[in-house]
Amino acid sequence: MNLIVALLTAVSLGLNLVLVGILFAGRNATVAKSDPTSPAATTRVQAPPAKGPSWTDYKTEDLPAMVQQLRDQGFPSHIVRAVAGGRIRETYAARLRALDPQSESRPFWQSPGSDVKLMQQQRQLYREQQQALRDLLGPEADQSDVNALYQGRRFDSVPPEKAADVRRILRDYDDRRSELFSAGSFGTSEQGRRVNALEQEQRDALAAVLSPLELEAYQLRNSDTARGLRSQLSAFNPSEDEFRTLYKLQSEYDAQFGRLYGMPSSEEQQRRSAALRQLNDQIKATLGPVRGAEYERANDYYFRQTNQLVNRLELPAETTTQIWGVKQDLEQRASAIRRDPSLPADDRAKQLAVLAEEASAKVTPLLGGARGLEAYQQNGGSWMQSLTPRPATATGTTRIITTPGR
Amino acid sequence: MKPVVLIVCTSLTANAALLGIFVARPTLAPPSVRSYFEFHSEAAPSARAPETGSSATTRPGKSPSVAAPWWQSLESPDLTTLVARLRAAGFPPAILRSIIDAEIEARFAPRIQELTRELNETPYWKPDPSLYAGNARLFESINQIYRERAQLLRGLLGQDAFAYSGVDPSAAQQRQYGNLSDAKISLVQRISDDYAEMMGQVRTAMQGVTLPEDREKLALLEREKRADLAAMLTPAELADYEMRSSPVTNRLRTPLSIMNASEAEFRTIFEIQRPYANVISPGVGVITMEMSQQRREATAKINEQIKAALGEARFAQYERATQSEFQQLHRLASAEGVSYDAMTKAFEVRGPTATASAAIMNDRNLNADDKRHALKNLAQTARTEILSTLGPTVGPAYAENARWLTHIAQGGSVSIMPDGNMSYRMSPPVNPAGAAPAR
Repeated sequence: MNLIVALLTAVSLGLNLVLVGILFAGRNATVAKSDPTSPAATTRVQAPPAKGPSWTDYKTEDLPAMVQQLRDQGFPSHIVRAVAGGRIRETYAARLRALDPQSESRPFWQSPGSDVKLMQQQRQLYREQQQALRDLLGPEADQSDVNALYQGRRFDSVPPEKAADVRRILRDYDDRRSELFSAGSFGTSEQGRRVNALEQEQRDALAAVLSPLELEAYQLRNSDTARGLRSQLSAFNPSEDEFRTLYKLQSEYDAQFGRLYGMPSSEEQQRRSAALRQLNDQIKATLGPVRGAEYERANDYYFRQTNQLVNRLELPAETTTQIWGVKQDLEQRASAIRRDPSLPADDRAKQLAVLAEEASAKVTPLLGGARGLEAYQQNGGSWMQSLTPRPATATGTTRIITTPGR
Repeated sequence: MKPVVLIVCTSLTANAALLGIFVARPTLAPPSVRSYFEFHSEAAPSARAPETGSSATTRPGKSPSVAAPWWQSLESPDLTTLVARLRAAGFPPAILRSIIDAEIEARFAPRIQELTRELNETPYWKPDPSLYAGNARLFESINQIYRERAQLLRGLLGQDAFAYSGVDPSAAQQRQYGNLSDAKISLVQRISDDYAEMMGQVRTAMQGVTLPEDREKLALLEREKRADLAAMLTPAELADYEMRSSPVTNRLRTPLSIMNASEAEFRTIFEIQRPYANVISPGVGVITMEMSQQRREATAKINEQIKAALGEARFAQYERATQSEFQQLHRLASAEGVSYDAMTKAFEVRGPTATASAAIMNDRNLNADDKRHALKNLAQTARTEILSTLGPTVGPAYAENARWLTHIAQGGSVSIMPDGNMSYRMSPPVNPAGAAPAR
């Protein structure tokens, strides 16, 4: 009996040692491989041959059958999607190569980018591939965390049961928009008319799927008007009610004028400017005198730039308003000097130069010294240079704009 | 209880527990003995074969609900093991790449979801935190994830990381790295990733505002990156790699494609351009008037040297191809099958018309009305010539977008500067004081 107990003890303890040894060996193997970017990991690891099926068992031209097989064999959906996507790409590979036979031999200093027709044809084939994947996998085809990130706010107000319809509509109109812009970056008024018509069509298509309240919620998050407004109001910090009020007014203006493409005629420019002034007056009247003034200031591009710089330099928030006050004061005084017909040109230039010095003396300490001033001159402070009078030209009043040629 | 009995009981319990752990998670065992614990994996093929009753290669039937499906024998928390198993199971490089890329993406999901949550939780009336609104921190977070994913993929797959269905991996690699060995490519990639990460951090901290010290930091990182590359590549390899990866080459690809430059022409133009790279494309921040002036001077010097090297005719083609207006015209006209000669002829209307507009504007014998009238006529003549040269589709699109033409038609004059930039003069000013700009 004692011998049996002794033997059992010895065998069991031996097995303890073996199993603990295996556990440690396994851990070490995992730790050694846990940094797959280490040079060791780049060498091919010889795993024991996988027992059972091989890829050739599943490499069939019948893709729905393949997908079903993979699902039955426990492949998770993201892997099924990857395999199906890979197989679909293979089926399109020959057509893609035929479109651009030079793709692999093209010298590295050249690109196919200037061939618009090729780009259009390639885009069409990519779209077909995506559609084939959707046909094969259904809603699973679009489930990706990366997609969700790039969709932004597109779906956060859409009821889940309507998301597929909304996604289909957006995809359709995104494709149609990209086709419109495919011939380079020309922005013609005809192109503008078609883009604005597409926007309206998309809105109508969404209205057929979403209730009026859902559509409003969608537009408040995703429309061009809402996006433009959020960017414009970054220094205004609106409440939800204020944002909704401004959105309503701005969307009426946008509905009337649409997005601007090409060079508007001077009559069109004047019409837009007059309507914009009217819009600003309406907004200020709605917000009241205090918030109206804050809106006007925050809506100014230079104010927003200054605000950004003040944040970057980690200066007190009120610095933006203080600099803005200096700018307003000096620009008003400069304007009075320029308008004064009794001033001889030399005196006018001298007085403006004094104002420019005053500007520099007042702004520099607010921005913490010369480093801040130098940064300000490139970020919101270009008005300081404009205080200095420009040299006269042969034609008198001249407006010079330069545009990059490359 | 006797101590011996206690030891035996404890030892047997420990054995049972350890065996249970290995059966539940075979991956805890080293690969050499793992198969002893993978009872489920072995069941799959034998369960499947009788069901299909024919070669699965030609007609894969629906599998029965197997107790241990195939994926269980392939999957592993360790990606290196997963790659090895997929290779052993015969997955071709492009499918392998797809699977591993998807698996890596799944492992990065929590970080992506965290970024998405941040976007979604920002109230819709607050400034847009999205990728498209210049959010440098978010942009860098995304870039960092992509860099890490690419590093992981390359580390796991080596050259197969380039295997994208339908693309020859060696051709893609050759285009990017020339004839570098795999080991050197791996080092170049690691150096590039490391510096991209450091530069990304500098850009994130900028919050959309470039200070002089930001430019200095970025320039320093560029110099250090080059020094690191120079330490592991031969001078010839470094020169070739830089030629392939340089922003100068990127910038020149479109014009060089339009003029169909030969390798000798590319190398000549590249060598002339390279010393001026940072003046022509400063990289970050606002372009000041001083920087614009330096760019104009540099362009003049570059053009002078290229003209001397290529000759008048090829230089004219090069210069035209670098103009963004011609690039747009080329894209539009190529799509409609308009010949290169017609594009050139239409584009060349601009120069003499601009010169004539300046002459009208400076003519002291003309009053304001006469000038406006003459400029309008001049624009009309130019427009007619463009339409007749480019045809009814491309002609109107080009004419409508030629800002210089619209400006002259509205009573202004245009001057084309040596670097291709244009200056516009209008008399009197168009906008009344205080008028808000159009949106």
